[in-house]
Amino acid sequence: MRIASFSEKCVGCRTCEVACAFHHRRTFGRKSSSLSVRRFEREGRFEIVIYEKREGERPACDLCGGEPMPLCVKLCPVGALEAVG
Amino acid sequence: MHEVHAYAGKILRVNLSNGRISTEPTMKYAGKFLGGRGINQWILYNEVGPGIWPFDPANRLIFGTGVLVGTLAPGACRCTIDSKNVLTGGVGSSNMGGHFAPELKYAGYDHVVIHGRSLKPVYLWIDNGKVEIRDASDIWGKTTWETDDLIRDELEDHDIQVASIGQAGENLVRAACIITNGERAAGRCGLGAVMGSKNLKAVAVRGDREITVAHPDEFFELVSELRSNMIRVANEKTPDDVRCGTLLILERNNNTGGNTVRNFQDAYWDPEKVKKVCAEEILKNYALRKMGCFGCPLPCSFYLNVAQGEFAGTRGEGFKADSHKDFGPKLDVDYLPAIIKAHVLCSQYGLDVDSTSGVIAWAFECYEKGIFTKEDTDGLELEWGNYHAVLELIRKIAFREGVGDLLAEGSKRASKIVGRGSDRFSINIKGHELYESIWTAKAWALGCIVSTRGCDHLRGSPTCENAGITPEEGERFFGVPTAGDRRAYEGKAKLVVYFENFKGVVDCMNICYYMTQWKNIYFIGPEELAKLYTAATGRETTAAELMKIGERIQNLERAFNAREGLGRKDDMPPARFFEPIKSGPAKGERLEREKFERMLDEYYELRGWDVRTGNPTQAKLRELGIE
Repeated sequence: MRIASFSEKCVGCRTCEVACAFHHRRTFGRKSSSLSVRRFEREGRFEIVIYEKREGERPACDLCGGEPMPLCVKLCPVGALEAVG
Repeated sequence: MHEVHAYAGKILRVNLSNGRISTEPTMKYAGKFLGGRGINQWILYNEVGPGIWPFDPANRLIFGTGVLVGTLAPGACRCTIDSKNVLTGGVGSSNMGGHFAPELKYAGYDHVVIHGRSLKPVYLWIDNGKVEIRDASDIWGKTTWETDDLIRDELEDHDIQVASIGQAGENLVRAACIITNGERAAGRCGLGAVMGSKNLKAVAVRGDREITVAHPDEFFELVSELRSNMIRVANEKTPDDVRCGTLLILERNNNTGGNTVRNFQDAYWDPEKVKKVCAEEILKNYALRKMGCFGCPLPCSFYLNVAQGEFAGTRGEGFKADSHKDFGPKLDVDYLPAIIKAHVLCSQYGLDVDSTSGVIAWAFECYEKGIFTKEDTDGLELEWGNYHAVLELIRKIAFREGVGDLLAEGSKRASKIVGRGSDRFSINIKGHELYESIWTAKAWALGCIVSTRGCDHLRGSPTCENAGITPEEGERFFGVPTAGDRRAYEGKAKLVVYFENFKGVVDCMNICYYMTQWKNIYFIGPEELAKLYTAATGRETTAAELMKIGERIQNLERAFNAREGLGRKDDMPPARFFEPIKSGPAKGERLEREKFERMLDEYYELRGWDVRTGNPTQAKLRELGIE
């Protein structure tokens, strides 16, 4: 399984980022997320970046091992993330 | 030390007069006033005494996140900003969405209290625990958009959140607001001018810390359930709202006496004009994509792009019902690119769309009635629908240029300066221009009229009166069977008290009002807030306890206003709303003066206030622990 992202659907709410960090640390924040939403707000554009390898303080995406569905996919309000494969 | 959950734990105080920076624990205030607006207002009440001019350095400007902000509770993104009101002299309180509040909380602060006044333009840089007052000489004079870019460039970090003022705030325009994320506005009460008076151009924040909750798994399950339930209910019951955000309000209002045509001269707009600017037109020709505030399960904003015509190249988001109605029917403009342009200009200059369009509509009506001629308006022809004049006035107001200097004072003050009966066309309550049409729905009207911040539909005014809810639902949710009947007066004072108390709690948590019962009776109510609060903080609470805090906040704000000389005499709608609507399906509907006065009496009685003055009694304040 992997997570497919569709940045063109993203609304920039960052729910996925925070949900991911919650999976890793059981707290709310953005820094410890395996996912980052880059906001180019005045261009009306967002870019979803998924870290498949650890980068600094960002842990690698583990597809939310132990959860029935990755939390980012579960909570995205617009279907910009999908679990595939 | 006992760990504090859900809160960041600290209040940051910054004195711009002497550069002193300090902190204090949030818990000092949280027991009685919870967070967000509650704590903001308690600080304001205690530290800004009667008679202090809004632009006096002794006034405070207080940014408040909320108990749930930064978590995944639906729409937990709001920032409440409180100060003395530039338009009314009473409570000033405004609220913005976007991404600023969660970032501030992740930086370690629940609130930021700005004291004093800097001698030169500065901005505040909060980089997690590090706080710095930085020179803003090069940024002064710039739009909010340029300010975002310049600060992000200077700090070499394009992911920081910035709340800033534009030229309007710098020039102490009374309609000035505070903007974040380009177009999210803490619009009302002129707080951008307070910020300008302090020589504070912006607050920039970077937050990399974490918020803990007491019972993570329980809390997460609760928020997941709430989110999916809300998305399901919204798609089942109001799929058009999910698709169109707030853009359907204008056309729906046309059927319910809710429009504000030509400065509230009628509540019904020409259907041909409605068709030209309706939601479908926007979605078809201008909307490129949806955009959402932090943590929102039901995003309602659109990124708009004008591709053709004289306003080609105009782009922006945050365009909602306010801008749509304010620059559409209120000024009789039926050309969407111009309406979008007006919205974008207000965001860039840092102007509240409601008050700005309100004072412009006042000027247009003065022109129509012969009080103004071209000589008074710098040669502009203020004829209804003349959007070139509207756009030029927005600029003149922001820079206080020519007639803009008069309009920058707001319509109430401007009408006093002009005289000649022009006050009849100033559609304000307590000096605060209306966005709202208040002829028809009675609780909606009462909520706007008694609002502590002037006039305001985002507190006591419910939306359920036009939402088709049944008498059984009205009884079950609010103990008011008439809650879904806009024409009824009976029970409406009770409904307003309920929503005022509820909104007090919502603003302490600082979730979006759209996530709650206010928008849809099946969304988040006091019970759900109590569960969220308990799981997040580990402190057991009940819906009734929370609603008591809401009541305390309402009383506190009212006591602040009473201290400034406001009272029952100011809880009065403009005379226009006692006259019948002239056309459309709601033709003939109006507020009936006697029935309105009785509803007002009932409201004060339910509040336990003095019916004659409309203000809290000492006994009531003591009962609520406000001394």
